[in-house]
Amino acid sequence: MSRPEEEYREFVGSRAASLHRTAYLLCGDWHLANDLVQETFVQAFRHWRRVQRADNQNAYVKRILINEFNRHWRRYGGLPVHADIDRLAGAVPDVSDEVVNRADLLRALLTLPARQRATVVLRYLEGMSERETAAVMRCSEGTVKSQAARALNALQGSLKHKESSI
Amino acid sequence: MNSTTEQHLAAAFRDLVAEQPFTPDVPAIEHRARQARRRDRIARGGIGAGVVAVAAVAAVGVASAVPSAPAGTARASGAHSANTGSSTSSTSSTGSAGAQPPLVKLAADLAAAPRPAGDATLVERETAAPGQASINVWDLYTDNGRYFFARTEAGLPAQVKENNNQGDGQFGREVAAATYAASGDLDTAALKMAWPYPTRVPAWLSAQVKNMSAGGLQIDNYVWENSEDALVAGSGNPQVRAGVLRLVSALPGIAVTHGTVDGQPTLTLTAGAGELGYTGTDKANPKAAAGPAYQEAITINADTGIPLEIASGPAGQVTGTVTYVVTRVNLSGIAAGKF
Repeated sequence: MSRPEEEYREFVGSRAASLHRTAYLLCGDWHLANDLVQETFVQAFRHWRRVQRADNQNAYVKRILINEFNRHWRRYGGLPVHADIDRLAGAVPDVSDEVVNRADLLRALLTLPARQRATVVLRYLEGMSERETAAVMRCSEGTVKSQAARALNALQGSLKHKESSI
Repeated sequence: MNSTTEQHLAAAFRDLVAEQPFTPDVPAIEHRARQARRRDRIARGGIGAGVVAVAAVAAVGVASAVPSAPAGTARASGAHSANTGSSTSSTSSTGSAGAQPPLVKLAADLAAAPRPAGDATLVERETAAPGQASINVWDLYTDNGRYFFARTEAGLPAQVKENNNQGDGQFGREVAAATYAASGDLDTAALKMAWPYPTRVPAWLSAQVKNMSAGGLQIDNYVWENSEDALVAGSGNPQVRAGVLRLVSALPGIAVTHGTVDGQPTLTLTAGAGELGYTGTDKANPKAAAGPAYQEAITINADTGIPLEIASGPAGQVTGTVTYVVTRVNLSGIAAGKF
């Protein structure tokens, strides 16, 4: 195995889980998330030199994932056919369910416009700063703020915690 | 992230995605990416022996085709483009449960043919697409698996002298698989061709080899696409051509069309949905129809099996062609600028 191949495989191994989680919140379906991540890594392999040269490889590959998600969104639109909402609704309650109904939250997330959804997933799942999110989304920090605010408003009803305020 | 709401949302997101294992199929990713890269290269007329181009089921226009001969004289075809020249097509057949008789016979004849002199195969490759200027490039495949590329014929000697091998061993492994297929066990040959990588053949792929006749399986796609590579990279070697034809004859979805071009016999082997899926979808499942079937057609000289043209596109639509002129050469001669 060549050195670039070794580096690529290390890269895949280190990023796969994180990308998979992000992909799931973007599409709401674990199987589709698998496909999105696989395709993301295909694109990363095709353009491996560019990935290696990127200042922020994590942001670069997240950008690829977002593009793949957008492509899917444009092609099929809206909710995935087999969203896992029903499975979540039947899940055994845990500590988190005391503050949020997971099925309601996922349903609400999936009804957000694609851009808002990507913004909140990057901001609150990935923990990216507004600047990092803006770089991945290729928009201004102001746009990130406004997109996140709208998304939080829409999601607020699903966050049934006692201190609900934005 | 300052507000309590944001913190709760972050915690809720983490909860939603917890405990879901995921292991990417790296070999499959790399396989798909390599295929895509080859298509990229062809699209821009750059490096690589690619296979993408145009054509429908009908035989495409091919100029001349001279049988393979000893070193330096195995010129296969003249330059041509789709829908030009006086080509005709006659009988055609589609594979089903059995192998394609014309391909099987030609493969047997080629397997017994002597190996021509020389130690490398020079391929002049012309990529053409409707409305665009055609691009000519030169590929040089050595018998020991090296690959040199130049945008001009005159640029090749420097590439050879500098040993600027641009292959990663892939072509060599595909050619080796084809050589094995000329007379080896067909199932083993199919797996060698479907997975010409240093890594172990995946179990899911091995499981498909016994069902190739069912059609529409991933192994059909893998065998077809890699066979195209091998046919071009090993076009100067009759045993390689024999192995490719034997493998392709075992793919059930291949249609074979007899034709003539300028009085010379040709065979056009066309793969469709069973091997390539449908346009408008990236899904690995070739049955996930989203548009017309994708097609690729290889036109070979009916007597020598030397590739003349590979064409592809949505069914009934020509989007580009790649034509080949094959010459058997000596590497030392190329390095010295003698073509």
